[in-house]
Amino acid sequence: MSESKRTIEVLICDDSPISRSLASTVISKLPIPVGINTAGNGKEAYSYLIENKGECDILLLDINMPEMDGIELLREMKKEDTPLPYTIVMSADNVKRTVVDALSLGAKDFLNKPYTKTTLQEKIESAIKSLDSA
Amino acid sequence: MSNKEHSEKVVEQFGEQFLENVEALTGISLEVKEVRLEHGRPYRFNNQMSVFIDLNGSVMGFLSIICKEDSAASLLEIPQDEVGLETREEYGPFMSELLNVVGGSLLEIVNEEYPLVTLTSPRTSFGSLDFPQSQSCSKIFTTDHGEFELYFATDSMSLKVVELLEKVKSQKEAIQLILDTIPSALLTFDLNCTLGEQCSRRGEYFFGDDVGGKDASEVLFNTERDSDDFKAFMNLIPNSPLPFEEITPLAPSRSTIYKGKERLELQYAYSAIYSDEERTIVDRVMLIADDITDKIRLQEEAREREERAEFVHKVLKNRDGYIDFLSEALSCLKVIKKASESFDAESVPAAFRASHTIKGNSSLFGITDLRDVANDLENVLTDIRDGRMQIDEVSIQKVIKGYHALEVVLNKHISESENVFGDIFDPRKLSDERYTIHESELKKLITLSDNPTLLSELERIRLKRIYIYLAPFSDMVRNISLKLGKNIAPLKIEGEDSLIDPKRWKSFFASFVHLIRNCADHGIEFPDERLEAKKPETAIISIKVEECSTGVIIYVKDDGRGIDCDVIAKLALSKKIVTQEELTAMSPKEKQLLIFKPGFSTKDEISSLSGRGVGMDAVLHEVKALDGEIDIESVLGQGTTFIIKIPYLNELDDDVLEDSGDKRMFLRMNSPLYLPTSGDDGVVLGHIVNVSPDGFRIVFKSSSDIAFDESDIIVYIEGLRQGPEYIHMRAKKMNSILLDNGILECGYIIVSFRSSADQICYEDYLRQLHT
Repeated sequence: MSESKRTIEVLICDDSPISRSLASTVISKLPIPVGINTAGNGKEAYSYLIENKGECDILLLDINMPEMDGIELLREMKKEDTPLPYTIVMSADNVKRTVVDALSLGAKDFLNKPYTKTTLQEKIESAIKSLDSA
Repeated sequence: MSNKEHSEKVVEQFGEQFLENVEALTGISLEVKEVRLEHGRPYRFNNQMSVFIDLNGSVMGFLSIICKEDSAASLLEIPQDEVGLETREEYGPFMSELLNVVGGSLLEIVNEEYPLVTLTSPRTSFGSLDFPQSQSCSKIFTTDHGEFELYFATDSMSLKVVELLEKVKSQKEAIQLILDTIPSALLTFDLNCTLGEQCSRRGEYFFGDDVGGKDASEVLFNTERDSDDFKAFMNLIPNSPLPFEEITPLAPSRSTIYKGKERLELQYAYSAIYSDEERTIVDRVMLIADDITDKIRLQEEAREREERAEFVHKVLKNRDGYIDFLSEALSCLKVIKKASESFDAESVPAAFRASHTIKGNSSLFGITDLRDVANDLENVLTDIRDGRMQIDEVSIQKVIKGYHALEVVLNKHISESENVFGDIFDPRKLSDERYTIHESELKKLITLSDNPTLLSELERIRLKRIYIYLAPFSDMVRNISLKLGKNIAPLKIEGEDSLIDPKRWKSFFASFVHLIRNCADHGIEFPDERLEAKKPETAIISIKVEECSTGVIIYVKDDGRGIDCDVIAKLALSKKIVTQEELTAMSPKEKQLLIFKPGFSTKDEISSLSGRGVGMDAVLHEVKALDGEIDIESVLGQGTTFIIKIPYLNELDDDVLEDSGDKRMFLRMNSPLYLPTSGDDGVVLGHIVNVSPDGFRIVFKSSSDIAFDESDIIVYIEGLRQGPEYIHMRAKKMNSILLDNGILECGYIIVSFRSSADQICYEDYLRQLHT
């Protein structure tokens, strides 16, 4: 149980600055110490994850992004055999297939946009629970 | 086998096993002296050992061995009043053996106060259970060493499952029957998408009767894309990080399949069938398919209707904007065409902007199909512009295809607009005629939407500013004055904002030409004449429109020579329109009015404007057709004013107004019409201004802005012989004209009755009037 006392590192990867700040606000309100980093596209997220190997616990990943989208990032991580953080993919409701692909590529959970504060918090909490039990 | 029998069997088996075990362990042979069957749960925890057992994976049971005497207890080696046993060893060899019999291992001490233990079977852990509503059974074995009671209980829920399973086995046919009668199709498939043999009848109807062994991704879906999505979903199941229930929303939930020519819209729901061995592993998937074709069709229709109504509404509100939109779209189309032909660095971005414009504007007007094709084209052009797509045969074809799609849809809308609104909305044919509306077509659309706002909007748009019809006379006056060498100031028009119904007034304005010509031609003197008469050289003709409570009054005034009734009289006599006797009896005014007589042609009289051959009688005819009247005020040497009064009533449909002069008006004029309200008085809707001869149409003038299609109204009638002094009627149809100030001016009611009593009263009243 002492595990959960440490700071949980979250990387929010979304091309929309509003979405990013929205997610960080919601996550930072959780009653646990969280460190939040953001990335504006898959490329940024990729370099962050390479640089901070193993540091990031949770990746909140938007699927539709310019440069490198969420799926491409997951593919890249898989190809490089880089350990993936507990990844929650976010997408609009009408792209079921991409979510299926993301889960097949190692994402652990998904979140339909637009999401509510509670849903996001629940997803993060269950991610932390799953990280602790691992 | 009943629950009770089941429990007894368990006890029987365990009892025998127990006695054998005791003998094996202690060497003491227990001979059963007596077996009693007792029901009910013995709450005896001393000298008792209990185990939870798993009977067949679905039934959880609870078996206790209760030693009724201390001597018997010693056989179990249960320490008296001792608590806190934690390992199987502490229960002594017998317990160990018993555990072996059950086939489980010690999991936890349920309750420290009582030596109750929970065991795991290889399959499942039971957790701590209590059986408040358990099915139970106990047997007492009496031996030489004392009494043992064997007690067995299962929770009722588990037993129900067993019961159901048994039923399933014995009533497979019945189950199949149930499956066949439910409206959903049920089928199952394994994770390789291979369909099982079992299929409900509905499923056979949807997918054919031999789906067993086929690939579900092919049977269930019609497009490659859906099949692929489905396969990806199925592949995810064994590797899913989330439980099945959480990923089912990701599976394709809709499918369109074709049965011959029939299109079926299906809705799919998925549920997991778990493996017998491992309850968390999905073994097969069950699909529940429902036919939602009708629902989808209704939704589509409703959406279409809504969009249509919205479209009409927007166009009516912003007519000029819509015309501009269509013209712009047409010129955008030209730009796109150019790009599809030349494909150079300039035309592609231009075409991109053009399709973007069409997209934006068409969504503004809610024209979704145009928006969609424009969007598709925009995407292709964006890719080309940004270099994501090479300019090659494929991309060129895509642009050309997009251009043609756009052209087809845009032309469809233009011709549809033409059908509905007339030429007015075809920017290719913009003309003065832009103020005719194909009302019947519009009405068809409006009734579809049943939208009261739209209806009043329609009424508004039907009415046009009178100015539109008067303005052309300005040119005419100028032309005449030039031709005749007269000096006439530009036509002065006042009150040009009055609204009229163009349909009704169209032929009136055709005749109005004669009136204006008459003024310019006859009324106005030549400049030298005017100077001689000490009048300003420049003559003035003016038109003034006034609205009053009963209708529209149009004054056409000139400051010319005025009508000389003696000249008129002489002319009328020479044309044999009147006799000398008649003339003698006429007042000067009556003589003036002779100019309206048929045959009083201006042709012979005026030579300078040749080829006209028209008369003022045409004007009178049109005024009468509108149920109006015309008057002349003329002062010799000072000028003439024609006064045309057209009542509002005439703007209603002809059939209402037939015989409006009939004397049999039995409802008192100006009687109020009431809309009943919850209060006593009701709302005054308006006042009666006319009633049709048969008594079943009431024309009224509204005093409120209430517009409605069908409603209850109350009509007060004086002189009813019997019954109440008022009658409830049902207003079936009201045509009303909404004036510019938002007031509903007139309407009519087709009388029908809310009750037969009211009808009898009314008919009686009619008879009374007619005799």
